[in-house]
Amino acid sequence: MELIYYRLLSEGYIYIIAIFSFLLGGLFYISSIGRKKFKFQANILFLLGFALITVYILKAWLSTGQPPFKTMFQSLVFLVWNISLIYFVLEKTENLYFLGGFVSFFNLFVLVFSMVFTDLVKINLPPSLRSAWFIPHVVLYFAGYSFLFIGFLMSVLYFPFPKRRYLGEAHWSGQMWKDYDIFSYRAILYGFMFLTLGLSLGAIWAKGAWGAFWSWDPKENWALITWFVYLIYLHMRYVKGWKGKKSAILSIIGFAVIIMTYVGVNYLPSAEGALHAYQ
Amino acid sequence: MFVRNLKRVQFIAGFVLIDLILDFLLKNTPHTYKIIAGIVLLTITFFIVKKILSEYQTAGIILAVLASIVAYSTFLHKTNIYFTFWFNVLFGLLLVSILACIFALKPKFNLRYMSFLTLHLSILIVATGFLVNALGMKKCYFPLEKGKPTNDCLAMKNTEVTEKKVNFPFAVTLQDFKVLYYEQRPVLGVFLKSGREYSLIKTFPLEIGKEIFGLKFKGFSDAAIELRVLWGEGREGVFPIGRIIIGQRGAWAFSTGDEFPGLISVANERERKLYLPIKRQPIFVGKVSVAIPEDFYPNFKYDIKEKRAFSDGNEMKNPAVKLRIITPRGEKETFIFATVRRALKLGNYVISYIMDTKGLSLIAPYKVFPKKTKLEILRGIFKEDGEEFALLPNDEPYFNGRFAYRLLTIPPQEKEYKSVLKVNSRIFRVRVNHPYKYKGYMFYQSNYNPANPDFSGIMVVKEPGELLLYIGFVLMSIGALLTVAYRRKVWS
Repeated sequence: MELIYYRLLSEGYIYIIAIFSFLLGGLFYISSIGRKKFKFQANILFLLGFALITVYILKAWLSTGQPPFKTMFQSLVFLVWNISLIYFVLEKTENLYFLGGFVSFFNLFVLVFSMVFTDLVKINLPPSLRSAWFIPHVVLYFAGYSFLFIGFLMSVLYFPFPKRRYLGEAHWSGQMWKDYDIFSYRAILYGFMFLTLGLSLGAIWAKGAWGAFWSWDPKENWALITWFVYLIYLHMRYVKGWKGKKSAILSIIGFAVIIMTYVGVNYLPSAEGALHAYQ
Repeated sequence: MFVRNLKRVQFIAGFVLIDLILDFLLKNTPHTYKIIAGIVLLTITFFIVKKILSEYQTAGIILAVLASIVAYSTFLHKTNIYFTFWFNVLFGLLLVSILACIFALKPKFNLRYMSFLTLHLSILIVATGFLVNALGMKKCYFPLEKGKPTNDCLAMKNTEVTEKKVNFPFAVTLQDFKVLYYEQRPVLGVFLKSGREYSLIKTFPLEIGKEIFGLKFKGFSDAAIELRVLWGEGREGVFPIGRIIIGQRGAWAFSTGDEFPGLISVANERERKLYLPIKRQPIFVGKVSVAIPEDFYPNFKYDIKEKRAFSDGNEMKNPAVKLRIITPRGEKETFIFATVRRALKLGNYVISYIMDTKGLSLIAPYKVFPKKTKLEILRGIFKEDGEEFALLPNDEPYFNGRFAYRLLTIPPQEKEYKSVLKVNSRIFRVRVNHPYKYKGYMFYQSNYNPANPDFSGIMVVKEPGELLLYIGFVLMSIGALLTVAYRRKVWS
């Protein structure tokens, strides 16, 4: 714990203040449940956290001259940025205020947890990642993961609140609708779109870098499994009318597969010496 | 009753048959996995037969099965599965199912149908592309040596290079090969003491004036010259020339061969260090002072009139070494004598000149790479609570109660590697991410050998399904975009 504390200190004030912003933002979001107070404060703190993470990423990018998405630590920070952005847009467009607390605490958890993977030394982009495809590929995938994370959250919320209900614009939660099934579906649809774009782009890039569109690399395989799971989700929803509990379970499975693709796959024995093993 | 039992018998027979097939296909897989795989396969077969392929949910079931198999293979590192007949049959079933879905829907020129058609068609095209590739792809690897033309290319299976030689239609010559590295500066590693051990908190780039955990970096001094060596069992390190490092297994000395006879000893109450007195190689005394041996006199004499030292002959009657002493207060010249111990005091240190080397084993189990040998001028000067001290790269750390600080050099990280190739009369350059196409063959920079700068690994690929795959993946992206566009329209 002490090591994590000093590692956090070494990241600088921007990072630490961002963590506290998400912590306080999350507390304000939770406090605002059931009343109309604190929503403004929660929004401001959440936005502050997002702005600071933006500054942190830009600073890292400008100081090294390389996009900071390469290592696990950098990608976790970028994931926080993506989730924050997408959540905030959804909060305003879909009135999903209720989710703010979960997202804030998730961001807080990721920012602290990322210290386990902190970059002990500066790692430069290897030749295979020095490509024009690198940034769009990563950005598309992380946008996809962020939408799918929101979809997952709503699928989890579906279980305690399964019924579709119109709450009205003046409802304390800030939501007009309570229909976590449909919200989840929308988020997953967008997530799937980004996942497909990222997968296609990745395959085209792989052709230019490694000479093959597909190499059955563990990371590629799990990306394919993730795509399959969400393809099944959409397919079953369209053709068999799967909704509610079945869809929510598939969405939760899908997110578990994402975690496996993102983090777990690196610990598989087959990942050693694989094409996607950069560190 | 009879029919039910017959079905059971069929089920068991089917299971045994599949187990036998799997046994043949997965020779080295544990039996338990074969049974699981057998049950899975049997269940699929059952579902496929039961639900005819044109049923929409079949595609979902096949997708789930394929996902499970891919996950299974990744967990158990069974890469051979992807090239087996039965795995490809499963993929084939998926494609037939997709095709059946396409034919089942009546064509309509609206957004809904177009999104459905694009996405489904793209999967078919991608799969066809892979199938065409599987039938007619040529892929091999050239281990090229500079200036040696060759037609011998090693066949590749997926990403692995085999021993099998393929005769390539053109002779390929490596004309030039270069590896570029990122510029690496030393960093300051800060360690946290926990119990008896120190854990690395982080390494920090050195910026003049920047404070890092209580230390302020003041800059580099040019008081150290180092030799990059590979020693022991392939470990690389940077050591100052002329320094004797005494470890548990003996002593290591690094020198350029331009030595004076004897040793110089630097000692205070706590530490004692021995140095080879090498001409113009610095000796570090304490934290900030440096003594540089400049000259050697076998029989030291001093001309008072001329105010200069000289040697009266080459007999070792009064051996002495002239030292240039550099301290934060300035520089001076002085002499140390083998016959007079403790001749020179510098702060808390006493510098001596020892002629007798008996009893000290000077072994040097190292291998110097002449091309990698790098003379660097590095010595970080730091300041803490007003006190200045120096750290040498990869040398002993500076301890400060809770933390330890160490100046570290990072091994070079490759930035780019590129080859200039000559194929027939065409000369072109390939580098990672930038292949070159020549007469239908795509040339890729694959790898290199750090120990052999004249070697470059080049991969050559000819994919007949390339265009189909490009079209398929582009169509897949369009399909995904159209699906969202269509659904958006429905919601609004």
